[in-house]
Amino acid sequence: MAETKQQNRVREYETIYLLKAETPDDQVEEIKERLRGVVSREGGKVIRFTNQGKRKTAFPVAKTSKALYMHCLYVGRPGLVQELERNLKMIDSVTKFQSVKIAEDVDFDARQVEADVKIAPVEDEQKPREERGEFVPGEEGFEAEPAESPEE
Amino acid sequence: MARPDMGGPKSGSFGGPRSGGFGGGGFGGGGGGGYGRGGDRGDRGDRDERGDRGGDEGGRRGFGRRKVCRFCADKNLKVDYKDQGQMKYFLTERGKIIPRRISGNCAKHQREVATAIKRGRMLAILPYTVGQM
Repeated sequence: MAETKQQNRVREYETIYLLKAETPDDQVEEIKERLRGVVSREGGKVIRFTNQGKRKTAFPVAKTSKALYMHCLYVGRPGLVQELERNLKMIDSVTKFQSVKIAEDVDFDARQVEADVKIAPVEDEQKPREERGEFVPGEEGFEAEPAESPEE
Repeated sequence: MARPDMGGPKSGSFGGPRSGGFGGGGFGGGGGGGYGRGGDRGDRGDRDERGDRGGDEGGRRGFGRRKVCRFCADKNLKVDYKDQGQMKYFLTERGKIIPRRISGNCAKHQREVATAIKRGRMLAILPYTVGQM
């Protein structure tokens, strides 16, 4: 009994990868399917892909300041991440990626596969900080105390 | 600074008082630190340098309210490196991480916030630096 329990224990990871902004939709799908194949080949399963849309990056990535953000949530064994990242490195339109472990000791069968989601890109607020009600550090470093109050 | 010819002849004096003086004077005094640790030196030094600092204890003056950690206050709130809006709250306009004594975070959550910001930077969600270099 202990052995079977051991076998079903996997880890939950998430990988965010950035694609070039001009990547066509069908190629985005193709990459998705390729990664899904990698995950299932390594004995894991993809829970969902999230297309976070084209967003402005904080600094130029691959000489452009826009990128398509993709988020992938999956469960699997530790070796899976290396294999997935090795594959990401090989895809030319992937400019950046990062994997993070979310949870350990997840029951493999309990995690259900969900449908892929596409969410609207996050709009960058262009308003200055003061108008957004955030604290503004004063001229002389951090001496100025915030005048605002965080949500009570 | 860490040249071998400097450290060689007087390694003892170099490691001891020199590094201590640097930490206390440079960081504690300039950054307005010495809030919890090194109380006598930090506090008094601060007050002497900046005349506007009133007679209140601990460098807090006229503000009264103690800031609480917003993640402790709201248990549903999770530190998430993907949430650009939330993470921006803990960055200065220059893109630096806002220290705990300003943001009011508890140690645990400040640690989480710092890690999240660093993750966000890696993915170009948050800037490493803003403005000209």
